[in-house]
Amino acid sequence: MVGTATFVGAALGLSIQFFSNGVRKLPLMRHPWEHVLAMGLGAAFGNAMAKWEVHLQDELDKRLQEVQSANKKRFIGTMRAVED
Amino acid sequence: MIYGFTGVTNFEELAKIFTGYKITLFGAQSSGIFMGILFIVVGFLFKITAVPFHMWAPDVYEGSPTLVTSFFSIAPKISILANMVRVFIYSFYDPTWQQLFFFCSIASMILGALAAMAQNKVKRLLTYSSIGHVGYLFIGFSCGTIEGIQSLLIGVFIYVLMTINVFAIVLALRQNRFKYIADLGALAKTNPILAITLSITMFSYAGIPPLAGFCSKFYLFFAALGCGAYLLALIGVVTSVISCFYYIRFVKIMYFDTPKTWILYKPMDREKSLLLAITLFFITFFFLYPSPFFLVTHQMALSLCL
Repeated sequence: MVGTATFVGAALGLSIQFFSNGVRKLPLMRHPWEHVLAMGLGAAFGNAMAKWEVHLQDELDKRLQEVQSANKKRFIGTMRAVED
Repeated sequence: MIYGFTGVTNFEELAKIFTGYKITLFGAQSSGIFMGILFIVVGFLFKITAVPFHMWAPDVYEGSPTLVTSFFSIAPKISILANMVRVFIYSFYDPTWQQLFFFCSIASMILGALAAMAQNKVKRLLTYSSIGHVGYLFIGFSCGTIEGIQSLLIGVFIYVLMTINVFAIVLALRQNRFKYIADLGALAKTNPILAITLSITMFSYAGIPPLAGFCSKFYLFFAALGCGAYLLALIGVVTSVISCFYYIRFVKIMYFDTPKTWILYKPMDREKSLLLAITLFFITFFFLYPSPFFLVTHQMALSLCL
């Protein structure tokens, strides 16, 4: 998971740098240190996104659980509570 | 007027006051409150350039400097839509306003699609395109469901990124006198990468899969189907097809037409190129990894509705 995020992020960062040089009609490998920087930033971004997704999923599940239990308390004694 | 007739300005207090409050087109328990809400609606619709309050937009957008036009196309859409969601989903939730927003959505989509076909100037065409997109965003807003709000938030974010991309290209080509669409002639020969970027963005605007624009329209139309607004979804699909004509016309001019004047190339600056790259990659690869975005918009919709 970490490997995929790092690899994809680094690839995206490198592609962005290639695009930036290409659209300005410069040699694609001009200033190679910028490519390394872009790959590093891309890898960091990819890992941050993967971590954020896990955090968001946990928060959403917690939120839906809270709402469900609140609804069950409200519907005590009705058909909906009996079905549940 | 709302404050005068209710005595409160707090959204929660207004929501409590208006729960079960009868507001119809032909009568209201308080006509003052009805007029107050109507004035607020009209003000918001003016600002967001929704039909029938859109008439100022093409002339203002065309006459303003391009930087100002790009700001106008992006920032008010975010702020006013967020404001409308807060006001009309949280406080003034009523089917009367839903009918009004249905009408504005349909009219904006139809006008945006048909009026843009007759345009020769780039900024006017982008204005009518943005009016059409406001119509699509109103589909999600007028549903009034959690899915509708979520699709609206997804649509706004994708629209903002596509618009940033397009205006970055317009600003990059500004040195070459880029006023008319015909000035794009032979861009594919002079700057092929920029031509591909603009092509992909135009395809995304047109809603061609698997680009981000298609994903946003997909969720908006499905939200409309989920709440029973079949006519909205049908008109959305038909106007999307019609709008393909003027979006793909850009691609035709870039690849198959010759320019009318001499072209002098001036290099683009680094910031614009990076902005173009980031937005292009988002538009192109959004369909591969949309889940964090869907999760955060789902949470935002839930926090508003529950």
